[in-house]
Parts: sequence; C-alpha cells; structure tokens
Amino acid sequence: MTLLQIALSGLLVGGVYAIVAVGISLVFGVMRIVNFAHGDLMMWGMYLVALLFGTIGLYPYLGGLVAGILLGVVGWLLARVLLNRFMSADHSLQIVVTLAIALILQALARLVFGGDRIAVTIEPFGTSSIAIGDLRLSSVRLAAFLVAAATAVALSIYLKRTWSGRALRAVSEDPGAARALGISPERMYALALGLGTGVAGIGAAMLVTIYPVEPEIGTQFMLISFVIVVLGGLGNVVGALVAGLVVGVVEAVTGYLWGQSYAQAVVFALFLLVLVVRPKGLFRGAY
Amino acid sequence: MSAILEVQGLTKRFGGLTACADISLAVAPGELVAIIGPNGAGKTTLFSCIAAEQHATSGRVLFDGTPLRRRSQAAVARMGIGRTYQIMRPFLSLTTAENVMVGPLERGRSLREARAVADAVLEDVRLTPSADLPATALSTGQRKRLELARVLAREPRLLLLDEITGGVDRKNLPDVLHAVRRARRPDRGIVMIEHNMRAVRALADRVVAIVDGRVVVEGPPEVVLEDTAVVRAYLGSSYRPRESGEGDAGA
Amino acid sequence: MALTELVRSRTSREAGWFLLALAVSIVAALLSPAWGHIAVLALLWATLGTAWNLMGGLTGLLSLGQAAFFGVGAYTSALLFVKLGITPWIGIFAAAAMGAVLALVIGWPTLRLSGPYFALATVAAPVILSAIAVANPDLTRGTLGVIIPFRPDPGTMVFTGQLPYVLVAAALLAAAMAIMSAASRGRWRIRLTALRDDENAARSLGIRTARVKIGVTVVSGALTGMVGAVYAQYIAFITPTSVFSLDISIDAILVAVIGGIGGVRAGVVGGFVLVGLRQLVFQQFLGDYPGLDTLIIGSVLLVLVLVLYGRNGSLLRPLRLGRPGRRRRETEEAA
Repeated sequence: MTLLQIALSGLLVGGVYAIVAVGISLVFGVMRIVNFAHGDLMMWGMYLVALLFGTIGLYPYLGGLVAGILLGVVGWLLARVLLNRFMSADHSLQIVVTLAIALILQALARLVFGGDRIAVTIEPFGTSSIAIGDLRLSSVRLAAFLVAAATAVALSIYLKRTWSGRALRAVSEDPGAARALGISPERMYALALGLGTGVAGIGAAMLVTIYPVEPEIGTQFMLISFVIVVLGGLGNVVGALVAGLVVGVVEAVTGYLWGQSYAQAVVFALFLLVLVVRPKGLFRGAY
Repeated sequence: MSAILEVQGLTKRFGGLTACADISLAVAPGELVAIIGPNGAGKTTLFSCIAAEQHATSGRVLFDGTPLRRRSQAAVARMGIGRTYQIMRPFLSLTTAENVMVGPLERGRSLREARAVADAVLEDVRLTPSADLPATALSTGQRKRLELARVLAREPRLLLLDEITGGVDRKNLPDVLHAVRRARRPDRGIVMIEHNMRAVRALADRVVAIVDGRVVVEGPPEVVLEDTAVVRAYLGSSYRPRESGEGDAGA
Repeated sequence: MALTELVRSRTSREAGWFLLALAVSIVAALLSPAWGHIAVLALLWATLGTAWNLMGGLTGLLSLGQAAFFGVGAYTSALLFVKLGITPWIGIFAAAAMGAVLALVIGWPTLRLSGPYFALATVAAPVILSAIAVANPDLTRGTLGVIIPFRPDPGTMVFTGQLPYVLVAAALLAAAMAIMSAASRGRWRIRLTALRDDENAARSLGIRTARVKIGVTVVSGALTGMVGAVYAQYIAFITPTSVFSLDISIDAILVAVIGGIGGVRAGVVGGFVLVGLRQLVFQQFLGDYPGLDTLIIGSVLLVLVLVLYGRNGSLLRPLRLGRPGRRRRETEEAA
C-alpha cells in the first residue's frame, strides 16, 4: 500500500466526512448555533439505514434518501419547536440545549440498540476494489464518495440558484437586512437545520457502508465535523467540503505513518492551530 | 505647563483610504477642545490613534510629553487616558454604583474608597438616585451619563468623549452638559467629538473642524462655527445661524 | 439577634451547604459501601462542577474540556505513585500544578477567541491529550491504563473503607467552595461580572482581561486536576478513555447547571443530584436499561433550561435574587 493509495483512500472518506460537516457549517452560518446534537442525529441515521438494509434489504444508497428526508424533517421540527425560541439567547444556552438533545438521543440509542455494533456489507461491492493503474480503490468507498459528491453539488446548486437557497445565504450574512426584505429568519432557521440534518442523513448512510455503527459513534463524528467546520470556516459550505477532503487525507496519512492514535492527535492539533491562528478558517468568506 | 496631549502631523491610511491627513493639535491641561466635522471625516479614527489603539501611518502622539506607541485598551486606560465609545453597554448585571466602581477598584482602591469615588462621580452626573438600581433600569440618557461616570471614576488625565450627547434628547441634554462641566479639572484635558452645536458652544474652549481628514479651521467656538468653509461642508449651505446659537447639526 | 444575623449571612449559608453535604456523606459512608461510593463520587463531582463554575458561571468562559485537566491530574498523581513511589498526598499537589500548567498552555492562545470558538477549542484539548497518552505506552501504559495496587496504607492514600476518601474529597470541595465564595463577592465579583458582561468595556476601564481570564482558568484547572488525582486514587484504575472522556467534560457542566450556576452551592447541589440520580438509576435497574440515567439527566437538563432560563436569558448569567438594599450593604462592607 503506497502512500498515494492511503491518501486517496482518505480522500474518499473525507468526501463523506465533508457531507456530514457541511450540515454543521450551514446551521452555524445561518443560525450562529453550534449544533451539538448533529453527531447523534447522524448516528440515528446510520442505525436506520443499517436496519433498513438488514430487514428489507434496502440498499444504503436508497436508504440514504429515506434517512435524509427523515432526518431533514426531524431537524426542521427541532428548529421550529425548540431552537427558534433560543435564537436571541446567549450562545451558552444554545449549546447546552443542543447538548441536552444529544444526550437524550445517545441515551435512547443505547437503550434501544444496547452496545451492539451493526455493520453493513454490501454484496456486489463487499470488499472488492477497483484498480486504476497501480492504485486500488475500495469500491464501497468510491461509491460513498460519489454519492457525497453528488449531494454536495446538489446542495451548492440549491444554495446558489434557488430563491430559498439565496434567502438562506442572505440570513446568514445579515439577518436584519434579510428580515427587511421580507424573509422570515425563523423559517430560514428551520430550513437550514432541516437541510443540514438531511444532508447529514445522506452522509450517515454512506458512512455506515464504511464503518460499523454504535451509539458512541455520533460523538466521534461530531468531533471530526467540528474540526472540518473550523478549518473550512464556520458557515462556509465550500470550505467545509474542501476541509473535509483535507482532514480525510491527513487522518489517513498520519494514521498510516504514525498509528491511529496519533492520527487523532494530529487532526485535533491542526484544529487548535487553525483556531488560534486563523479562527475564520483557511478559506475566506462564507459560501 | 506642557500640553497633556500633542498630536503632530498625524496621518492614518488604510487600504487606499486616507482617514486622517497631517492632523496636528494640542490640548493644554484644563482645556476642553471640541472636534467637529461631518461623518466619515476621520474623527473617530483620530481618537483611536490618540488612544494608541491603532498605529498612525505617520506622525506622533505625545501624552504628557511622552510619545505613545500602540497599546491595548487596558494599558491605555491604566496610563490615564479615558475614553467613551459610541457603542458601549453598561454592565447589566451590576448596579449603577457598581458599574462606576469598576474603574477605581482596578486602580487599587478598597471597596469603601471605590464606593466613595463612585458616589462623588454619580453626584456630578446627577445619577445619585439610581445608584443602587441595576443598570438595566436606566434610560438611554442615563446610560450615557453612566458611561461618562464610569470613565471619570478612573480619574483620567486625558478624557476623550466620542459623541457623548449622541442619542440624548433635549430634556436630558442639560444633565449631560452639567456632567461634562463638572468633569473639568485644572490638570485634565478633555477632547470631545461632537455633532451637537449647542453642546459645543456651551462647553468648548476651542473648536477644531476636521473635514475629509484634515484640519480646516481652529479657534474659539464663535469663530469656527460661523466659518464659511465649515458651514458649507458640514451644515449644508442652507443653514442659517440663529442669534441664540440654537442650531443643531445634522439630524 | 446575633444568631439570626449569622443564619442570614451569606458565608454561613454557603458553609451550611458544605456541612450538610459532609454530614450526608459521612452517614452514607458509614451505612454501606454502595452509599459510600455515591458519596465519594458526589463530593468529587461537586468540586468538578464548582471548578467549572469559576470559569463558566463567574467569568463567562464556557469550557467544554474540563476532562483535559481531570485526566492530566489523574495521570500525574497515578504515575508518580506507581512509577516513582511518590505518595499521592504530594501527588495531588503535583496534579494541581500540572493542571495549572496545562491551563496556561491551552489558555494563552485560546482565551482570546470569542464565545463559540473558545468552546470548540476546549473540546480539542482532552482529545489531543488522550491520543498522546495512548501513543506513549512507555510513559502511560497506553490503553492498558494505570492500576493502583491495593495495599492499604494511609501514607499512600490507599484506604479500605470509603470514609477516608469522603474526608479527602470533602476537603477538596471545601477549598473549591472557599475560592468560589471569595471570587463571588467584593472586588472580584465586580471585576469578573464586568468582564463577563462586556469584555470590551471592561478593558477600557483598565481591567487586564487576558490576565484575569487566564488566572481563573489556571485556578479551575488546578482544582480539576486535584479532583482527577483523588479520583484515580479512589477508583484505582484509569485509562485514557476513562479520564479524558467528553462525558466528564459534560458532567462538569451538568453539575453546575443542575445546581443553578453561579452560586457557591451550585456545585454541591448539582453534584449530589447528578451522581445520586445516576447511581440510583444504575443500582435500581442494574444495567438492564443502559443509558436510562443519561436519558433522565438529558431530559431534566432540557426541562431545566427551558423553564429556568427563559427566552433571552443567558446560561452564564445567574438569576439575580434579593433586594437592592442588600447589594448596597455588600458594596459598603469593606472586607
């Protein structure tokens, strides 16, 4: 296994990380809230997709659509019912509310699924890989990456071309001005959260084809997402996508060179470095 | 007695924009100088440079004869330069008196001494009845006076007031003017950025008019406020000064 | 007359909470090992929450990474004992020192970050430390963890019963509460409240906000390090995942929030409620329903936040109760 191969493999996973992180970035950009429940919502998405596959044989690529829509609705409801109340409150309050939701979600998962890890193996792919020259790319990862990329493209088009997408951007830049233009921030918050969690749902479906799911996994992915989001600039969707790829590669390469534990340390050290040196992220501007 | 404040040829440029161009002025101890000029003329930038919160592109600022280099807000305050800001909020979790006590406590005074200083200053700004009320209970006009009180309680040698009458209605204006008058000391220099001409006439010993980053005229209020260039640039050519000097600039 | 004044005085009320916790804990320790276990953990968590509260409740710094100090303290004390034979009675002070150093190292670059960015930065610290611990097994025994051998000896803080641990943990809590009490009155209260309310304005009045924030973080870090050290000694087995976990960081916040944030008694109330609830649920259902305790706690937290703090309130701004008259007397009583 050459370094290039490892890096490429990491890049593919990074694409999926990116999709998950994009949700947090979007929500922060529009609502200025860091959604601590994001990871655990995603974890539920993973369980859902795994179960759908296990019981009725629904492939994650379709299951992802189901998860995406379901999580999207949940996110939307969460905003309308709960988070919109706290929009003018201190960030500390918002963080604790999302933290409470995260705790509840994680606890429910533990109660329902116990400590069981559920892994998903997709038959035609299984552990096969595609060879491109000297490189071997895991088919599963490639498929996941392609779905993630398609989602990212769709999201970008949505944000740039549709009216509601542009309204979202308007609210993230200047909520007061947006309101004056007749855009309801509350609706946009709900839309942003729904979109963010929906996209995370698709990401979750892709992730479950690569990693087995257990209740604790939400926290892990959330932490990685934070790193990605800060690197890319909180609120910067394109930045989150690129940063996701970067983190995927860094994690894979350092893991290969120095072991898994150092991989984590390096990623987070990078995170701290960026926070301290350039808290707005490596990329300029939102969107 | 040397000047409390001396600005020599101060120029500040950022990103192709010249905010201040070769500004020079001096403030003697006991003097109150008003700086007037249209919005965007570079007045607040001048203040930032004087308070050493920003670097000037060229020129010097001397505080009590010592040249100033760039410093943090806290260091500037500890040096004896007090500044009010346009956007500043009172400490809402503290009472009015506690708000004012923050400064003296930082200077090393005991709780009792700080309270005494606060009481005296609150008297000057006419906020004594509100002393033990939470700061949230104060009206805008009162909050403006609280800001002044807070900075005065640090007993600064140089006081920079950035539009202290901003947002204050006619009813409360006399209280603010009274507060500023009471702030005058023989060893203290006061510089105020002002848009309210009534305040300028009532308080200033000297007026400096700044337009487009430059000093256009300087002198006693009666002279400067009638100066044609100032009137045109600032007040609009339809302005006609009335006998009692009631004219207000801008809104 | 004097007695009612004594009862009313703030100091005695705070002391009262501590004494109540101490009494309850001693009784629990004497009742049975199960109850004693709850008491020790409750006291330790009360200190954990109080230390967080110094940063969060008083100064407005939302730390999501207290586990960093906890873990560093635990490892410092445990390794000094297991590898160098240094008694934990000295080890806990070494743990405090390490906690303080870590606070300086982390705090200096991150404390100038605003709100959410600072919170995110604090999340990173325990993760990095945990990874370092795992990656250096020669130093830390890696994922195998460190075991404190059971050789009872008061000189090395290894006891057979719970009562001695109760006393140690209570002493730590007393120190934490005393610090919290001092910081929430007089000039420190005013200084910290000003900083918390509006950092910019505080700076313009001469408060060296960077120094104050670092100072508070150092104290909080040192205290939390000591909690970690005592915990390590009591549980006698630590691993990177157990002491650097996000759960501990979250617990620190939970304790303070449940206890009401900002008040000196918050840690005590929150610690006993949180630990008590958890242990009771766990012991009742004996692991049949894993996660039930977290479910209850999460729901309680949500309800609490919704009900108590209302719409525009800030979590980090304690509810101001009491008449203005009392405030005047406070500012006039020079210490």
